[in-house]
Amino acid sequence: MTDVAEVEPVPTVRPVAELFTGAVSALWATTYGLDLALFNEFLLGRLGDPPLNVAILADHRRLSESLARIPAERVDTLAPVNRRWLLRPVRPGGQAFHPKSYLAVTARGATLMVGSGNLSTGGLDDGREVFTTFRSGTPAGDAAITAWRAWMRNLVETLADVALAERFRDLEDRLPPPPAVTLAVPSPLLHNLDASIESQLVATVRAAETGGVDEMILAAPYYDADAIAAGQLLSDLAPRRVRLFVTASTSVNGQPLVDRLAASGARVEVAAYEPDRFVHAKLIGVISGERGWLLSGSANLSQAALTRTVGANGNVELAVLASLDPEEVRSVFIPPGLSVAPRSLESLLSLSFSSDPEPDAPAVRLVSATAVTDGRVEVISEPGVELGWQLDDLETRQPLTVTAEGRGITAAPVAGRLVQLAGADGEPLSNRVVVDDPAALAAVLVAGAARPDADRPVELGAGDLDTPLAQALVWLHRNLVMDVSERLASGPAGGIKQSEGGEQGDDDLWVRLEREKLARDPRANRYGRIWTRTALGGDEPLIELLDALRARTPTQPAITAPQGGSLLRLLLDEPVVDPKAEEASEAPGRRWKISTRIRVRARNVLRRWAAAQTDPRLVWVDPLAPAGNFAMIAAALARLYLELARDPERVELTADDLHDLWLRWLLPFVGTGAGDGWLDQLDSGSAALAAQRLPDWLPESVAALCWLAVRPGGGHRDRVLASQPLIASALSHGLLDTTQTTVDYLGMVTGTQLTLTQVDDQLLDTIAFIDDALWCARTAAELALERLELHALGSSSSVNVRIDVAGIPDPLLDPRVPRLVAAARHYRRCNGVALRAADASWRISVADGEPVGYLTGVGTATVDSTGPLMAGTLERLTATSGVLADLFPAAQVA
Amino acid sequence: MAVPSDQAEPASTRVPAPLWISASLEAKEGRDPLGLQTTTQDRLMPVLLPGILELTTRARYFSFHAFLLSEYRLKHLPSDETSLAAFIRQREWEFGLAVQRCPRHCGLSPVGARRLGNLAQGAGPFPRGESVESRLGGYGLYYRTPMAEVGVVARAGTMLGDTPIPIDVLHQTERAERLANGFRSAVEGTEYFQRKLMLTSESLPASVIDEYAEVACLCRLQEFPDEREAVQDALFGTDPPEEQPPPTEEADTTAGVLVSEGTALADAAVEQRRRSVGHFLSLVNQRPAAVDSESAYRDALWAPPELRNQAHGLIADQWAALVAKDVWQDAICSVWSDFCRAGLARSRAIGRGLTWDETREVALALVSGPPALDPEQLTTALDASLAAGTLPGPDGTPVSIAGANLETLRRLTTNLDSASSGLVVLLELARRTAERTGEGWVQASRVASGWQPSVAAVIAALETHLNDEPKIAETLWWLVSRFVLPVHERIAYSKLPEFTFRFRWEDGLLRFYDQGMGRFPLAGIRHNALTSLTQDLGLWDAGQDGTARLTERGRSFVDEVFA
Repeated sequence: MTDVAEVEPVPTVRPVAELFTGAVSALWATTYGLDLALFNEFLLGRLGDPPLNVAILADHRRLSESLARIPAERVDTLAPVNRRWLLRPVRPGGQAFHPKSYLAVTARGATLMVGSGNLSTGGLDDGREVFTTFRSGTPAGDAAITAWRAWMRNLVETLADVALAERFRDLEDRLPPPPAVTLAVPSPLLHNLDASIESQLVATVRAAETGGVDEMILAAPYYDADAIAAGQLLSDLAPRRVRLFVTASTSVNGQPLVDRLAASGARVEVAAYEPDRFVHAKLIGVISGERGWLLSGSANLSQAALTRTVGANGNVELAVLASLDPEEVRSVFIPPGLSVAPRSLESLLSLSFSSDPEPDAPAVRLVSATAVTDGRVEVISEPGVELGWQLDDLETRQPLTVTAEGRGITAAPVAGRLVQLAGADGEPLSNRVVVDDPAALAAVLVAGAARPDADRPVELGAGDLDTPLAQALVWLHRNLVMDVSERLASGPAGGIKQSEGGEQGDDDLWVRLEREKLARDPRANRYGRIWTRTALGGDEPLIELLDALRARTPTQPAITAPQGGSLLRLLLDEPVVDPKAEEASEAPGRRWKISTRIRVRARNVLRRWAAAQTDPRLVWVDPLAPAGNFAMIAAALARLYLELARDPERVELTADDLHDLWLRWLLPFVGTGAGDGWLDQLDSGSAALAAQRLPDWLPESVAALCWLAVRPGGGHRDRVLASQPLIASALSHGLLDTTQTTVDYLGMVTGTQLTLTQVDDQLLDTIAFIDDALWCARTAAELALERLELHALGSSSSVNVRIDVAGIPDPLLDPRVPRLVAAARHYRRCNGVALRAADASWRISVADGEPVGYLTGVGTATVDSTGPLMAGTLERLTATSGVLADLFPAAQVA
Repeated sequence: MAVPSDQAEPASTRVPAPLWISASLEAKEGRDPLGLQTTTQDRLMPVLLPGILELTTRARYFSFHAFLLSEYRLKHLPSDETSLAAFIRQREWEFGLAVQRCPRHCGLSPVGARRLGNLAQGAGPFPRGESVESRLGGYGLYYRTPMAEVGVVARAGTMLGDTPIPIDVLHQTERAERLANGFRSAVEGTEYFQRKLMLTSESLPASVIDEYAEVACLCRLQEFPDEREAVQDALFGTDPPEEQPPPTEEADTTAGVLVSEGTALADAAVEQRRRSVGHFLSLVNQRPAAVDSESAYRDALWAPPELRNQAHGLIADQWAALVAKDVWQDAICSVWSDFCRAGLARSRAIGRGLTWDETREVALALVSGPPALDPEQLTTALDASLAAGTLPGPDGTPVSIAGANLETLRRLTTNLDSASSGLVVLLELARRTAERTGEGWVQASRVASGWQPSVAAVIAALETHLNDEPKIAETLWWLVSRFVLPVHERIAYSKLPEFTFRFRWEDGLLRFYDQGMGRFPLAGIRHNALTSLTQDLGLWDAGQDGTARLTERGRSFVDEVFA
């Protein structure tokens, strides 16, 4: 068995992180066990705002057992049940309702997970469980989701529960429509409503194999007592070899299992998981020649699960049958963190079947309890309600009157949420159910309270949120870490123990706390979605942001991702909202409105965020978080430019605001060419990762935004000078790529006909632009210098430019000097720059490859730096606010 | 070599293989499992001692950081936070070297001591470095918030017109500039300053650092009276009205209202800070051990020997309420700790979680002590017997409950770590607080957290509970079911995806987790900060016998505050 043990660990799935996200608008689950507290207190809160359709179908007996344990003191923990989401106990065939399936629907598609894990921490997070993930938009995913819908429809019809049926109809409306053209893909889901799962597995294998079954691999925590189901599998498939994975707690009587294995005639290999831990996954692998099949899901190796249908005393089960290559089948049997060790066949004799008898069902089954408008509660039971029965909410009991249909209704309102039927003597007669609140359940499907208003950028007030721009900012705030300081605003005082106080030397502790706090920010996993979806598909955050900017109402179509993954094309192709039609709509979207207040506040948010992008702590959230933030902002600005062109009344920000904001975001990302951009600071590994992961649509979008920032018009020369080093730097970083889509987009924004050559030339002209007087005025203001004059000296000497400067008495120790020289070199795209004090008290010459020369006055000797200026040295000084003195012998500086 | 099993099947139609799950929840110990620390650190301390954090321990860092912000502006360094952050961290590194090479061998621990390691013990020259990894260095970690709260720093984001300022700057007030100039005056004669070595990156000779240390070390503040006065003024002074920041352009908004109110609030905060520090000094004057022992400090806070006037009485009552709250915290912590141990043991014994009734049984049985109590005895009877009762001391010697001070009782239950000792201490706390009615007591004892009621509410609820003549076992269940069970679960859920549960209801059963089952500590009450800041400011010193005594400045301070 060592060959199995040496197989590489398989990748894993994190259902909590995958399924329970803010983008989810519907979540349906089927489960045997249900951790109500985990769902109510944590998982539900991770889902999106209303409208939200959540329904959970759980095993009736197991759920009743759980509800029966809840004391009156803890009933308040059930507050959201059957108010914010629908809980339904299910047991249609009398046996266990055992399927574990989770369907999460977002605006972009659906994800279905089918596996072995119940809705509990063990089942979804820290247990040894497997799940198969299906996504809409893939042939297998669409086939699985279609099959799940049909299976669920069947269940819903069987249950004949109106509230559930209404929710299911709503779910079907939310699900993405089936693809118009589908590949013929058989359903990978197997259920046992009509045929046993074992028979379907055997039929599939028998139809495909030609030389018999070489190998069967089995792993399950529960068998029937005498391994009858396993024996039937062995008999039906007649494998030549059987591999059996067990733990000490595998529930089966050892002797009959050994007998059946021996009787099969197969070579039997037994392996135990080590360390010995409970493994809840249920797996059946079948290998025939070079073909393999793997059955996974909820079905244990028991008769009720595997060989019976629901109508024939079987459980309700759901499984996935995958056709895999043999090695893949074998590898799945090893959970991460466990290894396997061979055991003898005789070792199985130590196993024993542990029956877990269910408590006797109460005499009366309380099917449902529903609050009617005046607070009274109507109940349905099997058998029907009888005179004298009462409804007990664990605090008080209300007498029931009986309707003609055999239903009971309380005489007065019922305050409690968890109820049971009681006899005239007060003794409980039935199981407990949570009272339905139909009004609340209906409301949550269409609208509802959003998140707390406080969860927004600090600059925005509660009254600002009703605009698409503010909504987009709120979306960014909630989904990405734009400014780590917001997250850490409470400072290090929080969490300080008495014993830790006063030890300032232990700085590492506080840094570690900071780092941990950021690393566990739930928004961090959003970045992974940015990187993995460069093709603008699925649940990409970008699409959600654009939807927020469109102020899309639920009735409006979602943005559809185009082929090729071009953001600009997507923007150009999106449906244009007709303001008149919007006004006439019964459910108008959020209105755009001119508002100076929103403008100022939104601008401040975006400026603050731009400045925060250089915060090195952002990488503690995600190594490429600044790139993700930059990409999202670029998309938002591109969308705003377009909106501004289509209807200026609908955008609070002006074109000048957008230019300003774009440059504020571009600057920290690409820098000025002096090594001062975020991209410049990356080590080679991170740089390669960034190059690999930056969205494909970014360069053409950057080209468009840069062109808009320098397009002809008022203040053109100023804008060109301000943009020049940034655009040059973007080009050098490979972030500037004019495409025909760029040109189409710019044509739409400007309303003019442009050509690709025109746009390219204008961008290149910007890089080459020269206006010495203007440059001097801007630079002097930026560096707080009294005066600057630039003189071009031609290219014959090593010094190409001379700058006369007033306001720097001590040039070697003034950090403005490297910045000035670097700025001049980039502006003039030259190497040699000489600086001269306006009062002739000093002169400095700087050129790569030559010593920096420093002359302190007429008649004095030039002092040279300790060596020639290496390429990049000046940029390093600029980036670190260094001074030229670092390049000279200390004695000379002194 | 295996080949794909279904070669006719295109990859896009293949059913994916199942994957094993991995955890999204991460098990952590959890620092405040009952939400009681937060009452101290987030609710009480900001009110009792605004503007001083637990780690704001050295007075000279106020002037040092003000100097750095001032220099940054004077040197026309870039207005971006990255550059400012690097500048601060680098200067803190050099300052840390100087402190570690203090010619007096003062032994004070500077920001960045961990990173500096043993570097300062070498002969130099010393390479440049950065103090800590955190964004704004020790300034950001320990001093930025206090300096902003006392009104000498405007933090990045503060509105200037309709634009937020990009980096932290000193307010242009006489008080802030005097603070920066104080440190500058001390160091301006050094080679480090003269040669602008804070702008270069060359290694620093030992002689430069040592000369810098001679005047800049944290321990030298007393030798620069002007600077010391400036620090004291920064902490306890206010700006004249004409220097106070104007309201922002959004004065009609909620934020604007806060800014306007903020001026008044700032004045109140200064007065509160002055009074709290004055109270601390008055305690040091009468109980010198309060500077060395937090226990002695807590004892003095509960029973201050002498109060000057009504204002002093008000502040003393506030701090006494803080002490009472911490006694309550340690009492319920003993109940919690015992309950967790007993619950885990019971769960292990029966191989599953506990039903509600079983949980109640566990709580009812938390009487084994020490001291062992009779579960059937009325709690009121136990209460009545406390005057003659004892608790076992650390060496087993009985300690008279009535004769012990409250701090001793708190420490006893901490050591005994039993629910019964917690109950005894709680009853005694209730008895001793019965007569407290002062305004300061009422204000502070009614401060609750989002998770737990205030100590006043707890004592009132206990009184109501005792009116029903419960047995001791029932009182223990009352404590568990009211202050432990529901609170911890709510807190732990709020921390997810960090999994900090010690227990939780799962499938109708209470499941216990064996992860960090011990007690949880008290939150800091700024004892170290108060001690070191006031010593740095020369408000007290250690006499020849090492006993703390107020200096003339200290006495004047107290006189002035409680005039």
